[in-house]
Amino acid sequence: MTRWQTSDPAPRAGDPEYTGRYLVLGREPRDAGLVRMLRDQAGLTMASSSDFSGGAVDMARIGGADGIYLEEIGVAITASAPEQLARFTQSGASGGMLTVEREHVVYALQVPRSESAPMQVPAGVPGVIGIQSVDSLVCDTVSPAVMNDHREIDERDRTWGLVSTDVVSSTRTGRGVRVAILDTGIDLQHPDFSGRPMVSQSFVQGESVQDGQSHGTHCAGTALGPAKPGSAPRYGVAWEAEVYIAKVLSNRGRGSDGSVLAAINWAVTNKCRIVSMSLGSAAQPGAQYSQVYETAAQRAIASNTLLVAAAGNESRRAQGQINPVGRPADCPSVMAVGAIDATMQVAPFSTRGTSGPGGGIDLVGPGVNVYSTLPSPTLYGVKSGTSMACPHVAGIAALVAEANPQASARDIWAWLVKNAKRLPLDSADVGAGLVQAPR
Amino acid sequence: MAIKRYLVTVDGQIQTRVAEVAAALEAVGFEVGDVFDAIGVITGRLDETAVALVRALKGVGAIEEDGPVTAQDA
Repeated sequence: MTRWQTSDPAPRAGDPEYTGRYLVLGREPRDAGLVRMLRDQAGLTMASSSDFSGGAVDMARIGGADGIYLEEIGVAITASAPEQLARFTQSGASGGMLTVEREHVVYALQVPRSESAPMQVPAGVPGVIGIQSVDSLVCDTVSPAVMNDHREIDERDRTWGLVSTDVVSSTRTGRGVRVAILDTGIDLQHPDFSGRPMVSQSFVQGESVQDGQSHGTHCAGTALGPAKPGSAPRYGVAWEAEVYIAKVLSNRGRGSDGSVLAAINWAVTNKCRIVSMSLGSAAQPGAQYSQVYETAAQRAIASNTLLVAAAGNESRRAQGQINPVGRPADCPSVMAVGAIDATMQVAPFSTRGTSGPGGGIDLVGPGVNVYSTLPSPTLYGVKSGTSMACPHVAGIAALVAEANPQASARDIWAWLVKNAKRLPLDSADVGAGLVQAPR
Repeated sequence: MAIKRYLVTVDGQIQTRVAEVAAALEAVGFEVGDVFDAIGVITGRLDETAVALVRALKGVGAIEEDGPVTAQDA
């Protein structure tokens, strides 16, 4: 066993777990002097993060070195060598160093499931009177009606989705921000969009933008619906954003990559800052994300357009089946949105991030029993899916864009992640957490 | 001989390269459908036996088969 590999001492219950390694924080990044001093004064040789392509350090590939120096943040992770480090810190030579700490073991957060430990009733979710774990599905003393019929949750004035994401408290409207919805089109006659300026384009051969399926109308409603709909609760986020509708899915809900890319190109050309894609295809086992979509997404970002996509619905968590994030959400440069329900649990169909590059969930949004617009004459109805979570994030991204007109697509991404509501759930399922609207 | 639909990304400075690459693609039998300048992507049809050839062309980043996408409502 090399010095780098340490045996983990059996942790005592309640103690923080340490890896045995140490973190040495230098005064500044890219400090060759600190690296030299660690070698000369503590006898520890460091590999450098700049030796790895893209700075993607691989702790298993540092050869005979005693640790690795992370150039950009100025931190060295060293093998277990407490006596040497002690000598180093005590010697006058440690001027380039701020502090030394033991490295902790860290874990993803997970809500423990236990028959005997009743789960906490989430505060402030109307209609929820109790929760108990039933196999792998969480719902119960809640009247079964809550899971199957959204009317049990008080949505007289606004949907549970707008409450949980704090949209209802936001002063932002998306004014001046162009948002493109890539979907089955929209009902051009819907009363809630009458008078709303709209730019639309069909990328489906032989079909007009008019939504003959309902999915596009529902997603557009969530992202962009009015603040005061006729005789319905508020269901839409960015009610003053500029509406750009691209039909890329046919009236049967199917499309092709080519149509999607055409619409992304159109959105970028039309200076849409946000693109919402409640569409995709299942990831193939063993296949990496699409280079084509990733390249397109990078170029969109360089042109100040943020792509947001639904993470996919292949999972059947109640049967123990959890599927990976689909395409194109699995691209590193596309924001992947998973779904949660009104009790703040991961939706049974929501996919999970893999450990490979790009394949993670970035955020979650409301995606179960989501009320929004449907084509006339029905006008309103409920749908579930990561499709419904995605336009919540897209609409909120528009609110952030309005509040920060100079913000780049990456700035908006960073803001959304930083201000997400952390959930006591596995980050592989929820990313940074539940998207939250700006004040 | 199977003709399929493909997506091609253009490498590097797309403003100057897209038209060049589209021409190079046509020269090897790729039937260009659409050219997306803003994102540097070209779509079209090609015999699948020629994919490796296209991949080796200067200025081509990636080539992938066009595939179906569906709405993500559960």
